[in-house]
Amino acid sequence: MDTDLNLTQHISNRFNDELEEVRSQVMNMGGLVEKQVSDGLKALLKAKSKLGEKVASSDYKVNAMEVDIDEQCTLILARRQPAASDLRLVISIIKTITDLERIGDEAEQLGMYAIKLADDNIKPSQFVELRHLGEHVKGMLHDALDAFVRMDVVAAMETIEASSTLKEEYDAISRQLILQMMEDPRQIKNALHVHWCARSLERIGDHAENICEYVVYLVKGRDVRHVSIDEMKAELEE
Amino acid sequence: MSEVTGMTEAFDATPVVDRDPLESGARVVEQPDIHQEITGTVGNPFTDNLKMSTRNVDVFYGDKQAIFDVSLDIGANEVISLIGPSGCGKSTYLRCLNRMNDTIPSCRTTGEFLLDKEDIYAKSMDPVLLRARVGMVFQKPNPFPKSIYDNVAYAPRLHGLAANRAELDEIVVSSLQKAGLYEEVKDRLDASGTGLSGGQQQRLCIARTIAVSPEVILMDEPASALDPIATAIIEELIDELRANYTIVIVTHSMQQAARVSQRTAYFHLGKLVEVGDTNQIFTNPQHQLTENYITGRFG
Repeated sequence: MDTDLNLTQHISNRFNDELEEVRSQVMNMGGLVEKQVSDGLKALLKAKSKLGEKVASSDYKVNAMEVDIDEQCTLILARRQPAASDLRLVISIIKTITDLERIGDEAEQLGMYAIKLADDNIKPSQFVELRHLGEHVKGMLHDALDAFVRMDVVAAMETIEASSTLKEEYDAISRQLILQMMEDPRQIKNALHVHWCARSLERIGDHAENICEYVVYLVKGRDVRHVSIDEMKAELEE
Repeated sequence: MSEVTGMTEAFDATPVVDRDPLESGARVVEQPDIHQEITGTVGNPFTDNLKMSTRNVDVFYGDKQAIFDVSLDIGANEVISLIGPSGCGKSTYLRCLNRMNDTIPSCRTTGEFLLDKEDIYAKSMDPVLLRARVGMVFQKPNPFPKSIYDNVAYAPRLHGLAANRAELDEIVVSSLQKAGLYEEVKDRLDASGTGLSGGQQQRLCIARTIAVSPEVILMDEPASALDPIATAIIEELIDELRANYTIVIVTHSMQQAARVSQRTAYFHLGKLVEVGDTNQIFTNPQHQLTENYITGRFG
């Protein structure tokens, strides 16, 4: 039997407000991180160093939000001693914002590479391999945040499932870059840059997957970390 | 949503996509009339490690039914907590376990109650002897207006458990020790029990219960009249007593139930809604009513 997750039915209205407030701040943070990733990728693919600088210099905002939300969660734990779904909500928020902060760091990296790219006068055409991977990762992050907001386990599971193709794409890019480097050693520096960016994107996808796992924990109370997708499904059908 | 956008703007970044959980097809579940939904007990009310078992228990006060078809096992050397809102029947159920309800004329109890496979409502069962085997500690400490020594010695004397004064002394001392009170009162065993602090009085009552070597101890909100320090001492004591006794505790404090018990049973409107491992009940309850109660929601 599933229980409903309704944040607004506490006898204490202030508790309702506190949970709503912290949850809406996570949504804000998610929106900001999504924007950072999107801008970082755009700066990279279009060699816009200004935009890259903006992304790199905006990371502090993400960090500040993490600290702020963390503190609010600490206060909720201290004041309310939440149980059951409330406890799972607070715990999954604390974990989600850690992953969001890490995604912010990777977006910052993308911004830095965009600046480097412009400085070194490298043609953005060399980064086109990243376009497809980047779009895929952006989509995954979006879906993960959506699943979190809606507390939607089905969507979370779909997103987790989609992450396997992401890893394949990353591997394909790695192989392609190795070939390039073998063919023309003068390309090694550029190829490494591309590879680091691909690595950042792959990490973002991984963090998005983590967020989806927290959604499953939040809604179902099941910990599905470190298990295969088939085991997850079997676990949830129990 | 306006507030969300506003806050994001403060950071000079608009969200990539507006999210409205309701507009974007969130799964909104119609809330059924939940009180009609208690059809049986969720979770496993049974245990292999059996001390007491109760089956299909109904309790009536006159025409009014207070307990509806409750079946629940109590395992040996476990602490099981009974939780639920006021009037849910948890105390009534607790009092059935040593036939305390017998003293209420309008109260009628049906169903099966076994203590070590023995029917406690059988004609051959002496309620006084039963209450020596299944002892009780109440919400408000209620020491007799006698000395500390006599409070503890009262029941052993009544049941003739000591052949001489030396044996009685030994029972009194060891009971006070087990209740964690001896060190505080050893120099004034002749002083009145009512002169102790609230927490000490409650431990005296526990010592009084232990003095007749019960098998099961029933506790009805044993710490609700105590300060946090006395409460912590009682909780610590409950954990120690578990080695030798089976403990059933009624409590209104969620945190206390979560801390002291291995299993938790949730009662609502006279029905046993859910029972399970305490760890599971407090992190992932399966019934909406349990969830509502332990998270402080309307329900």
